[in-house]
Amino acid sequence: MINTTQLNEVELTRIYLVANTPSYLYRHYRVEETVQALAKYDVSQLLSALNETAAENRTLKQVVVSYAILVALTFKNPDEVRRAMNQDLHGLTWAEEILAFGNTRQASNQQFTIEVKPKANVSSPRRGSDVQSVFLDLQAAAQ
Amino acid sequence: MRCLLAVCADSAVVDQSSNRLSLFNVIDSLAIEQFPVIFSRITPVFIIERDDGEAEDLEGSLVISMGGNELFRFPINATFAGRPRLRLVPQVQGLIVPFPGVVRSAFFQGEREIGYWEFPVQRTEPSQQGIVQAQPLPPLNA
Repeated sequence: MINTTQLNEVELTRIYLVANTPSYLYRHYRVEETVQALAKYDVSQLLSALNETAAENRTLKQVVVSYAILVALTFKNPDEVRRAMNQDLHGLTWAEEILAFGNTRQASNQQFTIEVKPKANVSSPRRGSDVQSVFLDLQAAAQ
Repeated sequence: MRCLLAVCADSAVVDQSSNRLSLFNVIDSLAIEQFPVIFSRITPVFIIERDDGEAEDLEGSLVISMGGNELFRFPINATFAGRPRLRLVPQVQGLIVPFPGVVRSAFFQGEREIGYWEFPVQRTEPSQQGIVQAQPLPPLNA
């Protein structure tokens, strides 16, 4: 059983009220210590706590607690959360986006190789035939 | 746009099935016997996150410097491909470090440095490992 009264509701409510994007809410909730403490519970415990906040018309407190639980779930294994997720997310407009942030598939990758070329040009040593031709040129010039 | 992680490693791979990033031999300091030295391979890694509504395309530069002197600069154009995070995993081959000091690997978005990783490269005494010291033999009649 999760005790959601440990959440810093005043601060979480303030963040929720000024949040204008899911990523803002996600980033600020994720660094909140009481949300991080919530993430110490099991996925099943978090989901049952999320279930308890479900209502036809969630109050502001219920919305704040629901988002805190959703962000706490992003600290968990996303595959495990996806398998167990069968919750009523009614009224939580940003729930899907927030859960998606925790998914490693939400990162694109750019891998490439860079070869650093030396800045100075180093000429290759002359071959024997080149040396011979230079010698003959010099000899001809001397005559 | 912000850099969540900046680090240098010997190598890095992204698992195709899970899309997880693994770093091998993170470089936090190096001990070198002789300078200048050529790093045959070094992999700077940057994880960059964008906010909603920020551009999908990222134009920036990888800059490797030492004591304020630029050793290397490479323009990088990348795309978030509709996702919130981007991992840049360039492998740099043949970087020349001329003298001991602190190497700084940074990513610039335009003129703004958004993330960096620094590691000291120090001179070390030549290794004695593997050299067998000759010992004088005792006299035969001893």
